[in-house]
Amino acid sequence: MSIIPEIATVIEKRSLDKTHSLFRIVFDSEKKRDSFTFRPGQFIILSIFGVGEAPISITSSPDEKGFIDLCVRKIGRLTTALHELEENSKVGIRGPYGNGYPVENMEGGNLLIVAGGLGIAPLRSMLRYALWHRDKFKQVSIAYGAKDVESVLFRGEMYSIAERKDIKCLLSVDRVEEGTLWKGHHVGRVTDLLDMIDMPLKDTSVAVCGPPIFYKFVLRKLLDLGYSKGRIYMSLERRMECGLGKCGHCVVGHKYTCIEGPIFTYWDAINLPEIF
Amino acid sequence: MIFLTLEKKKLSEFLDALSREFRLVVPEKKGEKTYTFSHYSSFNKVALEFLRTILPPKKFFFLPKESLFNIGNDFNINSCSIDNADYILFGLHPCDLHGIDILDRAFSYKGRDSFYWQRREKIGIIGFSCLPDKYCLCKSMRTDFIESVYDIFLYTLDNVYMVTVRTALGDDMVRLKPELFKECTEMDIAEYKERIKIRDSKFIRIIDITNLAELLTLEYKSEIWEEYSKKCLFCGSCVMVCPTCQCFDVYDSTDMISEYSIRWRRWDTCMRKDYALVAGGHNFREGRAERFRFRYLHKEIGFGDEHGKPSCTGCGRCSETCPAGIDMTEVVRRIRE
Repeated sequence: MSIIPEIATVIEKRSLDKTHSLFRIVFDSEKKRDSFTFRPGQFIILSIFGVGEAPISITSSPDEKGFIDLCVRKIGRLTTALHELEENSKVGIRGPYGNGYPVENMEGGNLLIVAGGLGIAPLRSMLRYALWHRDKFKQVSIAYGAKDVESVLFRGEMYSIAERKDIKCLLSVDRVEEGTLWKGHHVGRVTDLLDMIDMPLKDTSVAVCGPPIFYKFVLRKLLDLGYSKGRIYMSLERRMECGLGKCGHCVVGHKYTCIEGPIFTYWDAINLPEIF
Repeated sequence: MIFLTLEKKKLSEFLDALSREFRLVVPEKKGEKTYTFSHYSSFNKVALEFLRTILPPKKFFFLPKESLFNIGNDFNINSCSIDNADYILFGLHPCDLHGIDILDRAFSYKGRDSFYWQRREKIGIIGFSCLPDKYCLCKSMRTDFIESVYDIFLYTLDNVYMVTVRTALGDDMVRLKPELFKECTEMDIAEYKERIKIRDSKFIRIIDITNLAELLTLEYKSEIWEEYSKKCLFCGSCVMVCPTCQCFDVYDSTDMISEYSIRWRRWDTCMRKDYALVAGGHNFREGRAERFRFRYLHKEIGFGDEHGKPSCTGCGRCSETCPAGIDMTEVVRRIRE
């Protein structure tokens, strides 16, 4: 595992809404392209040379070979520079880092995905993995909430998943702007969707990711519904600079989020000092 | 392990011999009361009575600032050349040897840090005994002795140093000037035992670290953190001088003239306000009290589970250096009371 990145090319840049874009990235080295594997929930560290680095979760599935997709909000110094890059620009990629979702433990059971806003980015990897290996899971459901219709990332993809019979896909927005099409989907809180999803408590893994306020309400709701703290998986955001459990920035209590996480069960998370 | 003796007046010959074969680093007096580890120039500049240098010896293998690579417009990554001279660090006290032990663990935890180890593996270490002053806490922290890390250890007796040769590299060093060393006599052993008793009696400050990890966890919400965080300047001096602080910041630099950008890493401090800040403005450890507490918990509980022992070596540098006069012993005592 090295702190030196591999050179890669942004082969496609697609705007998802005003502040989010999808970047498709391909390693320049054919060897690296073939050997690069990862688990849903892992992240890479992206370099724009001369600007710096930032940790970004992978949003494509490990089954999609030859490229990785990153769903990025234009929010900081590096992500702003990334949004300003033209297609075919060179970047650096190192990783994958972090533990990722424990898919082996999740397989064979039910899967409930609960996403808020940009929290869909790492969860989309898990979702696509579950769809790719649909036979390995019993029931699969996703509840995804955003603030308005425009902010529902991967909207087209979500609409078509909602059409599928082998997965329950419920979408919710806080409000619908006048003249916007949001037919057949929910207006309200993502927690409302959890009432509409009838997943058995037994054998269900719940993967949750979203902003802090989202976690607060969703976790409370999941506990009220009776899900086990040991089967609720959170993805923690922290400042990961090295990704190798050395630089110290992402430490929570005394755990390095970059190597022990970013995926923690709710039980492990509440047992970290300084988590909430 | 071989035990030998070296006459005190022959130490200069030994160091001269070492300096011809290795890049030798020794403690030197800098200011009135300050010492630093510096490159050996002549024996009369070597400070033997020193206690602690301003910076711990980590600066030789975990550099305050180092370039990781550079990259040009052609997107070829050029790794930066690492000085591959063989170093000998002379004069490290047990606390600093423990500090290196902690860093060795930290930079190997779940993967080796190649930049650290490329240098670290080229370094031989000569330990040196000491007598405590008012800041020394090694006895309390159980770091007053060490049986690893060093290649040779010199223990000061009346007329000779008792020399413990622990590694083959240590043996190589001794064999540069074998005529300087003698067998250890029964008298030497008796004197060594006596010296240990004397040293033991000289510790001024003792803190009790029994169940300290538990107490610190229990006192997680104590007002003490708030109180000290008002006194603390958050200058980060305690971190810079700490033999076990390992945090670093990774960043790029460019300039208008060269066609390269350089990726760097440099020492960083968890005391800094934006240490845990993420894009979008969320700061996971913004409050002063939280930052102050975080460092204490890290040093005294440390990565106990991960590294097998707390990260404080009791060297006393943080207490001696703190411009606000915050003394680690006092904080720990307050927590215990």
